[in-house]
Amino acid sequence: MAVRRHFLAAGLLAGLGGALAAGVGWSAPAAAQSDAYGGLPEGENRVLVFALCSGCHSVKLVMQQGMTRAKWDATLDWMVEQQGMPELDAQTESEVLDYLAEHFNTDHRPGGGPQGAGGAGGLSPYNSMQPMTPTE
Amino acid sequence: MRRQTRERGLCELYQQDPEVADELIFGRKAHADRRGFLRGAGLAAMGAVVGAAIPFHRNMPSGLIPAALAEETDGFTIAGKDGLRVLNDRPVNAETPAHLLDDDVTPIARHFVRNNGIAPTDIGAEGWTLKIDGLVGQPMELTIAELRERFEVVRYALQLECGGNGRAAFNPPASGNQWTVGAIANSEWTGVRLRDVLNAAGVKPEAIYTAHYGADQHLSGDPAKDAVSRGMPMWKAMDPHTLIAFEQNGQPIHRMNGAPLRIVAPGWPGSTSQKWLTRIQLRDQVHDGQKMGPRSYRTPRYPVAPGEEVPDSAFQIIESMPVKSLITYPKSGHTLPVDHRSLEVRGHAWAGDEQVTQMHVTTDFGATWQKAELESPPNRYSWQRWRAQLRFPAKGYYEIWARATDNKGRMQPFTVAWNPKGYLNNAMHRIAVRVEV
Repeated sequence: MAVRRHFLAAGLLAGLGGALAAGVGWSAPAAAQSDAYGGLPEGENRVLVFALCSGCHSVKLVMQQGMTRAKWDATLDWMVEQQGMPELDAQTESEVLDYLAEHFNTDHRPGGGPQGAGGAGGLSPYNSMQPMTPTE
Repeated sequence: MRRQTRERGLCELYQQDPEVADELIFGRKAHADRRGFLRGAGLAAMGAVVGAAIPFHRNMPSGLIPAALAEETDGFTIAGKDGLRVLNDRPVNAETPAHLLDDDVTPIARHFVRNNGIAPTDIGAEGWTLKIDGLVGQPMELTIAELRERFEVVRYALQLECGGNGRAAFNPPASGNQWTVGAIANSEWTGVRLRDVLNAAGVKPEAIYTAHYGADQHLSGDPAKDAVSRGMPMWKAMDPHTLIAFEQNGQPIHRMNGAPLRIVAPGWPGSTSQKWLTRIQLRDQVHDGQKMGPRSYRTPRYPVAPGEEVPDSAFQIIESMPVKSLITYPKSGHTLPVDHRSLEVRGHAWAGDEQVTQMHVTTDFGATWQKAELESPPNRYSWQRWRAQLRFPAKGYYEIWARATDNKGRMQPFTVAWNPKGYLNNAMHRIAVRVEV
């Protein structure tokens, strides 16, 4: 309870900053913007994705991923079949997948990808190998 | 446009008063415990907005959206942990930067955290019991005091590594927490041998696999689901270094590391080492609990192309983790002072169930290798200290790469074979060093 209150208080301040700024025509502080909806990027269906995902886990888990729409679809199926997620109607599922596939596709690499030795904690570079094209 | 409006409205209303907002927007009234939906009020409306029924609505705290809205994971810290990079705050997952893992025995504050569910809050050692049942002659229920009294108490330095350590390097990306290199630790664990406890209960000959249960809660809040419930073959359970542990570095175990009681099955994916341990059952089949499959903690039996679709039937359970090492000094980005051309680099190496027998480093991207000094482990399953004196020929930018070899001759690769869930990345660790003159 104490933890939730703390988060709530922090959110009120951050959110209020944003609201005031918007009201008087200032640009909203970056922190207030990026913290909204757990930091999910703005876009169509953001609220829906936030509400559905954060029922069980932090959206920080969502924002770590980079998957094709098909993989996201399979992930939602897995959550429904094995992890107790309520089944979505077709329209909602499609909206959720639209958002996830747009913002967190395979080109989204918050923690990895080719980096210098100083980046990503010193992981050896994965050489972006793609399946080789079979010769004719 | 419509959604934009709704988004702003939600924010502002919840800022003013989350419970009033709950009622205004959804017509929701919570029960007296500020959870659920009193007489169902608002449940249908909220369900319509989220586009789905909410099966565990009775557990849903009032004002949930604004509380979660204010989630600030950047400012999120874990009490008793120091310097960890938080990957996720619900469930809590955090790794330790390599340069903070320099100690031979990992301090409690630097031991990574990998949770599948929500950690229990009631973790007092008093009254905590462990049930041993299934295929045993005499089922038992033991307090921690009874474990200490009845069985030999041992203390070992034991390496524990998350099966997904290094996942962030996979391309195409693999789903799950994007660990870099820091989901590894080597604390000293005090406890009793699992083997002694199982022998006291009497292992029936049909028993082939253990099944572990803990007090953590599934993320969905469904009390009928386990957050994680894995097991191991009997031969691993009977290994004298597989412990039921009640102390970490001579102190009470950290809450996020499984207090007050956990399994430590060193060298295997950390999930084998059930935290908040309440029950061990012996079974006559491979355990089929939460996260035993079909893909969790499993890799394909054969090498696959990056991004290839692999059928569930081709996956096998990960047992021993592979040979691996870390450079823990210096920190990547280190610059040698002027007139300095030499540097001691050091770190740790480990090899799952095996032992590390050789350690090499390179400063020229693998063209030439220099043998490092490698210490014996203080006990089996501890990581091993290595160190090397390096000399740099000229000013410039260097990368130091470190490579361990195990007693079966297997070396760390430059890059890992891709697998769909991003496990077992034991590619070499590397740091950058700059030489001024």
